[in-house]
Amino acid sequence: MTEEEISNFEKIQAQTQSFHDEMSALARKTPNAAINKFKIKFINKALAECNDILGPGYSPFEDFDLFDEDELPSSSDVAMMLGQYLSCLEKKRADNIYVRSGYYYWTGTEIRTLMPEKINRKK
Amino acid sequence: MAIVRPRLNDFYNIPLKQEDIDFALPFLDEDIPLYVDPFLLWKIPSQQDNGLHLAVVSAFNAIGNQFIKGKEQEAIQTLIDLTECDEAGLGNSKTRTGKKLGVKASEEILELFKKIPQIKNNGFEHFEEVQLLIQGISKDRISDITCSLIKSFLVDYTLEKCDKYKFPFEKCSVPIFNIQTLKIILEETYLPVNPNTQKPIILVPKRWLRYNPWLNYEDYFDNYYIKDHQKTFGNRLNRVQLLDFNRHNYDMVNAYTRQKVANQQSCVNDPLFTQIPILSAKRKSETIVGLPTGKDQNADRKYEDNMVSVLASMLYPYLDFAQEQSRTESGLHIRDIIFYNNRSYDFLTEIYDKYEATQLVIELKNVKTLERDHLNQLNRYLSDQFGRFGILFTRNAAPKNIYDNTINLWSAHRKCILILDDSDLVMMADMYENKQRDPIDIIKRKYIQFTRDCPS
Repeated sequence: MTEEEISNFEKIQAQTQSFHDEMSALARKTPNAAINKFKIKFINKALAECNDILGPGYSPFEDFDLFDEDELPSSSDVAMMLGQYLSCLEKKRADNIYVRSGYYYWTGTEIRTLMPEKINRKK
Repeated sequence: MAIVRPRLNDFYNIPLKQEDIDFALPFLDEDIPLYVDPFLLWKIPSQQDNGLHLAVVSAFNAIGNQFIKGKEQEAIQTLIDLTECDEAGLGNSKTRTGKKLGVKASEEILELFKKIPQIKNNGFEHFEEVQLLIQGISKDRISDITCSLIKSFLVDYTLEKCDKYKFPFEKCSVPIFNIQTLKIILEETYLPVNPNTQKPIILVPKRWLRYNPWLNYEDYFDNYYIKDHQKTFGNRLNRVQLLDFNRHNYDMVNAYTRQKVANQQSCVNDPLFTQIPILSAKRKSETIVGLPTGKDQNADRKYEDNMVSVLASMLYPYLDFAQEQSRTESGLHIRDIIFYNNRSYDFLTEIYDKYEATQLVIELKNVKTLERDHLNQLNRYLSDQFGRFGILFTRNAAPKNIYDNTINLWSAHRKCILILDDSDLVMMADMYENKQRDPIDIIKRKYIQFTRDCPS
């Protein structure tokens, strides 16, 4: 990945994480409440970017792209899908980093990054 | 295709949401049950409205002055002609026609200008006080007199709205009050007309309309006379006695008016439709969901009554409520709700275009399991009018064979019958409460699912 792609990746990952945190909080209070069109619009924008970055190889589900606002997705539906996307983003990141002297870097660059989540969890 | 409770815009196929326009959409066959309150013309902070109020009161006082100066017959006849304004279509008539006041009652009103010194010297400031002084004068007369006195303005207002919303208009003769001659003269002008009766129609601003005028007899009696003065003046007076008492003690009426003027902040127009509060909608939905199916203990009646109230509110403002109605078919009582399809939503435009649904009918079925007969009842009803789109609201999800029947109906006759149940009602109530989405989106979702299941 180029430096520009890495920068974009981190931005989208951060946005998706933020949406996930927001939706999870909503889902805890009112899991079946429909999400308003304003939120769906911006979540879909983030998902579109995720789909571009992940491509068919890393995409969580081949028959899901974006939320259809007419289907009235609930907060729990959205939280669940965003969680899936976050896992796939993390998989792609883990597959594109290397370790050197105990620090992790994006492959082909000197840009530092965090250790893979799966290793972090084991600790 | 016959329209239930047609309004002017329905006849001319002009999709308008009542909420989005500043005038009351007139019915073609009946009056709107609201009245112009001249107090609102006085209270609203608008130079135009205040000027119109001044014109109304000045004209009324000028007629009284005419009566004092000996032109009694002329004054009486003018007042009689002012007491009915069919063009405005406000009141409680089921035919948009009313009766003018009689000679005796008109004379009694004008006699006030002779008998009550304050009115003789200064005239009325709020002529609605007549309701507290003369028997048989109520909100409808006050409204009609006001409309008649400012009819020239209302004609111009109507033409402006016709131009904006593309209502067709025709040349017609309308009686207009002339302030200079204090006479009613027939003027030729252009107005929309009732397509059935060819009678002219004038439009009235919503901001002037109330169910009761701010100054009215019942309020005077319950909240002023009974509370503050009955004890002072002795025995309880009946209406006629109280009106007579008021004529001899005009200061009481004046004091009541001053009190109402001091509390004018609470005087607002009444909307043509009021949604029920969120809490009330939630409670009604819970009541509905808790009802047994069938007819035991009047469960079907309770279901229908609550559903009418809840759906009319939840689907507003996208769907304007037209009417609830009952019919009997093969000995069965069927209750349904009719809405105007004002095409205010993308899916409503689609069902208007595809299924000629000028009005939406929702049939209510308090049954445990939907059967083919229920579907057929609505299907036959749709054949007579309403286009080819209808909704069945029932208690439980439709069995697969019934749902398949709706698909077959579409395949054979291009009719769309959607089936909604308690779970959809609960979701609509939640949406009505949390305001994140509109309850009508539930119907739209059902429609999209239906169209996806239809064969291409």
